[in-house]
Amino acid sequence: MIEAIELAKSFGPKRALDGLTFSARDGQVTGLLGPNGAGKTTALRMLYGVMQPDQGSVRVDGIDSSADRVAAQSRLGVLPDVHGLYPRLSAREHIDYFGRLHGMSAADLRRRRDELIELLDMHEIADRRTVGFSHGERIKTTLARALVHDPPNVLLDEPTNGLDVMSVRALREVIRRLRDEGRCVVFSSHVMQEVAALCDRIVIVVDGRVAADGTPQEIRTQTGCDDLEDSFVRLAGQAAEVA
Amino acid sequence: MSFARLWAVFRKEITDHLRDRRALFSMAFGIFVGPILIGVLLTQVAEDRARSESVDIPMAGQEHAPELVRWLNAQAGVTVSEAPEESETEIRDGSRNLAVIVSPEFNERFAKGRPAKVKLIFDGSDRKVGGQVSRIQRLLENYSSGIASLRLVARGVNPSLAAPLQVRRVEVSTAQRRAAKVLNFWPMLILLAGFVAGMGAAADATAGERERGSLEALLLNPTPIPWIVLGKWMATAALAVGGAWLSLSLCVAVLGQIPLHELGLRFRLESSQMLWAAALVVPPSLLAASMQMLLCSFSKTLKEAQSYLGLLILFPMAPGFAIEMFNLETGLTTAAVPFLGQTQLLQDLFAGEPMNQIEFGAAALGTLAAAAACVFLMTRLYRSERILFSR
Repeated sequence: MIEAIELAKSFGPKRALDGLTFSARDGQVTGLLGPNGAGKTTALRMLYGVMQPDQGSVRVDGIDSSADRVAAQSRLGVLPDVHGLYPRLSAREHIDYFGRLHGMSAADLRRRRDELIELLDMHEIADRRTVGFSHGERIKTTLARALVHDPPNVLLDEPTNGLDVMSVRALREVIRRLRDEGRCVVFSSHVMQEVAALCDRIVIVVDGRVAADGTPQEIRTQTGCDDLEDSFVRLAGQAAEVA
Repeated sequence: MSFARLWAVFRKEITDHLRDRRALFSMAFGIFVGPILIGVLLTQVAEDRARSESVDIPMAGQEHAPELVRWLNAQAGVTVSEAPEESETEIRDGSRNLAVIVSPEFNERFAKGRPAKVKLIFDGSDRKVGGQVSRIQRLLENYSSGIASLRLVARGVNPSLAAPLQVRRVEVSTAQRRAAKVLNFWPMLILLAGFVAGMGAAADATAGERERGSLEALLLNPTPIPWIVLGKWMATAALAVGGAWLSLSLCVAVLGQIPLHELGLRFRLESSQMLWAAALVVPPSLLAASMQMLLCSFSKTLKEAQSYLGLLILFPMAPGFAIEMFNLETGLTTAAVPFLGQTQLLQDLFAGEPMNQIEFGAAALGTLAAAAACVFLMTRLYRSERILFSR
C-alpha cells in the first residue's frame, strides 16, 4: 500500500507537483498516466525516497518515508527512470549487490536470484558483463535487482519505454504476476494502451495534479468518453485551458 | 544496523575498480615510472663516479722522468699511458682532452734542485675532464711535496718548517645522511603514489556513478547514506594505501640495486624502520582518497572530475619542495601538517634516524583528522538530493 498525500515540489519557478494525492492498493496495478513533464517521475522519486517533497508526505505500508526512509525503502522494489547499470559487473552481480544492500542472507539471496533468473529468462545473460547489453536485457537486469528482496510494493517508472512488442508482452506478464501475488504495483506511462491493458486503477496526472482517479470504467464515465484515449486527451486539454 | 551492507558496498566497489583495466594500467605506470627512472639515473651517476676514481694519465716524455712515472704507477687506481709529443695540438683541435708533458730538461733541472717543469694540458669544456685534472694535479703536488721533504731532511732541516699549514678535510655527515640528501625526493614519490593509485577509483565511484545515472538506483536502497559513502571510500582508500606500499617496496628494491657505495653513500632500512615507513604512508593515502572523492563528488562527469584531480597532485609534492627550497625548520608543528609531516618523517627515516614517535603521532592525527573531515562533508553532500538532481 502506497499513499501520496498532498505532494508539492517546485524547481525554481516551475511547480512540478501541486498537491498530488493518490493511493495504490495491494493486489492492484495502479497506473500513473500523464503527458511528458506532468510530474510522474518526480512523484515516483518521492515515493521511493530519493527526493524530498516541499510539502506533503509519502507512506509506504503506513511508514512515513521522510521519518524512516530506510524502513520505507526496504518495502519497495524500484525500476527507476535511468537504469544506471555498472558496465563492469555481470547481471548476476547486480542482483547480488542489491540483495546485499537490502541486508538479505546469503541463502535467501541465492534462492531468490535463481528464481528471478528463471522468471525473467536471464540464463544467457546472467554471467555477462552489462556493458554490451541490449535495452531489453538492461530492463531485465534492472527489474531483477529491483525484485530481489521480494518487495511488497513495486514502483516502475516507464518500464516499457523502448521495448519491442515481445518484450512488452513478457513484461506485462511479469507485472500481472506481481499483482496476483498480492503486491501493490505502481507504474507510470505516457502511453494510453499500456495503461488500459494492465491497470486496475488509473491516476491521470496533469501539471502536477491528479486530473482523474479511478478504474478505467469510472474514468470513461467521468469524462463522458467511450474511449480511454479520448478521456485522457480531454482531461489533459482541460488542464491546459485552466492553466 | 549491520556491517554487512557496508561490506557489500566495499566489496562491489573494489571488484568494480579492479576490473577497470585502463585505470589500473595508468595507476601502475604512475607508480613504476618515477622510481625506475630515478634508479637508472642514479646508477648512471654511480658508475660515472666509479670510472673517475681510477685515472689514466696520458704522459709524453716519460723517459725524462722515470722516477715520477714509477711513483705514479704505484698509486692506487693510477695508470700512466703513452702520449705523443704533439699532444698539445691534439688537445687544441679537440681529438684529445688531457695530457701531461714532461719537459726534456726535467731530469737535469731536478738533479740541480731547480723546479722541474711538467705541463698539464687539458680542455676544461669537457665536463668529465675536471675531476681527472684535479686528481692528477693533486698527485703531482703530493709527489712534489714528498720530494721537498726528502730534500729538507737531507740538509738537516725539519720538513715541517716548510709546511706552515696543515689542512685536513673532515667530513662529519654520516654516509647515510648524505644518501638521504640525494634521496630526499623519494618520500615525495611515495606520497604521490598514494595519490595516483586511488585517482581513477575516486572519480569513478563519485562522478562516474553520477554520469552513468547509477547513483539514483544505488541511493534508493535501504542502506544508510554513511554506509554507502564509507564503503566507497574504503575501496578507494585501499587502492591508495596499496599504491603507496607498492611504491615504498619498489623504492627500497631499487635503492638496493643502485651501487650507492660508489657514491660514498650507504642506504639500508632495517625491517623495523620499514614497518614505520609502511605505517607512516597510510594516513596520507587515506587523506588522498578522501580529498579526491570529496572533490569529485562535486563533478557531474568523469571528465570534469579528472580536470580537478590534476590540481590535487600539488598537495603531496609541495612539502618536499618547501623543505628543500626554504630550508624549512621541521619539528612537531610541521609534523602535524598533512603531507609535510610525512615527508619530513620519511626523510629522517631514510637518513637513518630513529622514528620520533611523538612526531609520528602528530602527523597521523593531523592527517587523519583532515581525512575524517572530508568523509564527513561527503556524507553531508550525499544526504542532499542535489547530488542526484542538481542541474
